[in-house]
Amino acid sequence: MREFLLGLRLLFKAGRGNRIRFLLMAAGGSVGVCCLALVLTVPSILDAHDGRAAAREPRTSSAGASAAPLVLQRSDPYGAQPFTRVFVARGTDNGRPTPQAPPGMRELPRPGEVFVSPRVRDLLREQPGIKGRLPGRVAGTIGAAGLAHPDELFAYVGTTPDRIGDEGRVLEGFGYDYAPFPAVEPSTVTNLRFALGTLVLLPLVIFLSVCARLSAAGRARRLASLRLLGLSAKGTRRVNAAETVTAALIGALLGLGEYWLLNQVMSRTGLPSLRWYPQDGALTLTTTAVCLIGCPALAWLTGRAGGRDAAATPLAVRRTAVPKPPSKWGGLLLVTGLGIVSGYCATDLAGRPASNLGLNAPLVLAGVVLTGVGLVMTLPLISYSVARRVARSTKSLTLGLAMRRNEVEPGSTMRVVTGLVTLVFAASLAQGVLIQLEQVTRPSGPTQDYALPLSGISERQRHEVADVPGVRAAAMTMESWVDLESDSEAMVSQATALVATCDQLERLVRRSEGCVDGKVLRLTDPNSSQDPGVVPGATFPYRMEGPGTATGRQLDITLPSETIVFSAHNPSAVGSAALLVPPSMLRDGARPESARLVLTSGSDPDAVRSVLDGIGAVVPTVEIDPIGINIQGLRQISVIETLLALGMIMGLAIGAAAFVVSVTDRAVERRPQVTAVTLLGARARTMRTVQCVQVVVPLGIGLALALVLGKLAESCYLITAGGDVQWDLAGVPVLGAAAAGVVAVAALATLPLVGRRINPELIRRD
Amino acid sequence: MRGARLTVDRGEVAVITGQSGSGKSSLLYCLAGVLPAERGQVRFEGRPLGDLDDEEISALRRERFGFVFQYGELLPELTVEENTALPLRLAGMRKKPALTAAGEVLERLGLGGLRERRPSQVSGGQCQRVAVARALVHRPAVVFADEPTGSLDSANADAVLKEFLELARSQGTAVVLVTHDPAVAAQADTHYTMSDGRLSAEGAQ
Repeated sequence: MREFLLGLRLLFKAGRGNRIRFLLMAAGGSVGVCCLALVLTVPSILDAHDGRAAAREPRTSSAGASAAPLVLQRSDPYGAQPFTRVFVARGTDNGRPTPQAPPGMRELPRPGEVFVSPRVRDLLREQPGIKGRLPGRVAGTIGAAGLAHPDELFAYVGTTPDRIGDEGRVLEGFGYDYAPFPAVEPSTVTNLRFALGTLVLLPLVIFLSVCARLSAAGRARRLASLRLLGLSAKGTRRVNAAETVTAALIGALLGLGEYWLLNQVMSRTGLPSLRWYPQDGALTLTTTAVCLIGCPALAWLTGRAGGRDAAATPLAVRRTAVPKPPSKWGGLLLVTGLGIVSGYCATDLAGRPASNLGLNAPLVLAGVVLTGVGLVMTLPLISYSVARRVARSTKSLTLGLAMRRNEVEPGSTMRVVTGLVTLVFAASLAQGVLIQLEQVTRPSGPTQDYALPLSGISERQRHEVADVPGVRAAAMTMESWVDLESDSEAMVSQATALVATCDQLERLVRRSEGCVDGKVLRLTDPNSSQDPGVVPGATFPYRMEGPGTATGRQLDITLPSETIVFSAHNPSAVGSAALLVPPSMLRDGARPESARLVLTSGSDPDAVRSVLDGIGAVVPTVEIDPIGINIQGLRQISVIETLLALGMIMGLAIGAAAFVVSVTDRAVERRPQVTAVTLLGARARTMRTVQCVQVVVPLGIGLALALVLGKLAESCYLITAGGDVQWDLAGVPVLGAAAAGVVAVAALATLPLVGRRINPELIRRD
Repeated sequence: MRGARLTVDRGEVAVITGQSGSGKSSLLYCLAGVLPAERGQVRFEGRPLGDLDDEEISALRRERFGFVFQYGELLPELTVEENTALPLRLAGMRKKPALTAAGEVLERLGLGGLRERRPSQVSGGQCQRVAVARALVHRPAVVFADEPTGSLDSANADAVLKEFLELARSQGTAVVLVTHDPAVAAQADTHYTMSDGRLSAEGAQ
């Protein structure tokens, strides 16, 4: 405690420069704590979303009186968001109590009434096309308690039981313990928390370490003096830690205040795909405790570590001993990690990509982590070696001066750039994760198929749906009938028939050969497996219903040997079709019992949204299956993307703060030498160039390595994940441009650090 | 500072003494063109420094002036040889001839064996000798020295001062030296004292 108080006394009595540094540490720490609080609050925000979504989930049963209230829930994509519509028919059973209204509503909607979320209300103004999905008049807005988040696309549509149809379920009430589709899967939240924590905490540790070493030379001399005067080694480290701990504590308090303000602002403005109510982002006791205890504790450790040299070898500090070259051990980590990562990349180049089964998954993770940590730990060594070689060989005075500086202080140089280098490495990896998630939730082909159960669609609606703008082709698929009650143990094959003309087929698939209109033809896609029972000569029954046919009438079709070879898009609504049936074979008005209407459009998100709006306007209660689109997955990806981007921005903010503080501190420490060289006649621009080069060269090397190694690590992950994309070269220009931008901004940031005016007082010490 | 009037000829050693805070360093940097004179003129080879722009003043400091500071102010990242060669490099000389010239001056000052060492690897007296070598390596017309021996013990101070002035005189370089140590004045051709911002000549030695 005595040493701690001594440290505080030294802090406040050590002049203006020291106080400014203290304020800088507190301010930077507050930014870090604010970001940390946001990261820790993200799960609470997602929990609050899920809690409200669970509370409004309809509780249903299948059995009930015919006059019971019914409910039917539909969730279709609107861009990357689900647009959920709950159709409610209040029922006519007067003796039966009406179920309680869902949260955010006073009562259940009456037929013809539509209650919408604020976002849907805005959309109705901006894009009247979606009105078709909401039959009725807008009678009110759903309150916050009934919405997962302020931007949710949600509506209650009051209707009648006959309009709901057979798919309706009896409504018992609202509220479940768990949300049917969490905002982000719990396992993903854990990974996300880890990723965000790394993205924020790593730069924060670097920042605190930078702060702990600010004015390193002067501080070390002061500590060494105390040590020589009789302070114990432990006490000397405590004196140094006192300052960082106090700054961190004040920073933590400020940071929590900043977070409160940030929550108020961001809950109103929102982030792309992620909005919340202010109370969702309120600070919890745990978050407050972690920030108020964790941050000073971290500062205590870095502060103690900062005073280690002065405590251990005070004489060397007083005489400014020759710095040792950086340790080579970090290189081992890099070589090991890179070996693993390159090995997995090589499997793909050799045409036998490894999977993520067995030992591969932990090995890939270990390879990626070792590469990242190894990169950070090897950067000082690389910087030192490059600087040494360049300084010896260059004939340029500017480059020579800059490189000599980096040669003697590779550690401090790398502290300046580590945060930014780590960020670029992490950005590469995050991009890989997003590509992988994107691959499993959204088709990457040029077309988008949709499937609708034909049972809920009238003949007129069928034609209207086919005419929706953006729909390129419409056809029908029907399933052959299988008697599930049969006692026969033999496997019965089922054949999907595509009822379409050659022109429709052409539009629905990537390519086809051998089509002849008016004939039943066998369909074969060499890229997909086929039921072994679906062979030429086999006959399949298709049950029909509708006017002009008695229910139960059967259309038997024998598979011919004449074949159309086609290649379907991936994924496709017609990929499993085994035979092509000309529409003329179905009598007017005859409808297969088990059939789907299939449509295709362009895959551009706007086109998909417009087609879904159009279909919804014609058949609002029919379930639309957008083939290959996992709408809940897409929603989750949007949230994950937003959170990762947020983490990157926060990491960048802390990394940039560490960079600015560190570069400024170095420049301030170097002022006497710079003044001396300027007095010797060096031009201001020469000194600016030296300042700039000594930052830009290691930063450039670090970023280039981070980009290359990050891409290798990303490819290693993508290869073992087994998706279509293994080498994400598309992301290279973006990351390259971002890295070049960082270098350019860093270069510009160093320029004002060398002034034009010479102040001889800087080199006088009497 | 007011009423200061002094002339320094080629090869002359002018010493300005005075107590700390008397304004002698301000006068030194004013003479070197670093601090502007509010009134009056500083002339170098007949040309008023006030008429020169920043680029010309920098060129003058680079090519015609030399500086020795109280603590040497060598760049810790450069070797002794590179520090010494710095004025030549700043003046545009190529690396190799600059290092050769620096080596010769270092030899004359008995520092030839320290060429490859860093400032942190040599003693305070040796550092100050290197600073002297750096100030004289480009054979300047004037060397401005601000307490050049202020950080050294008396034995080292005497030795460094002796070598410095010998080398300067042998090159025909004028020296303007400020110090609070009256003993240094004994080495001067001309001795001035500074008191409360006023300069008075004590006469030639």
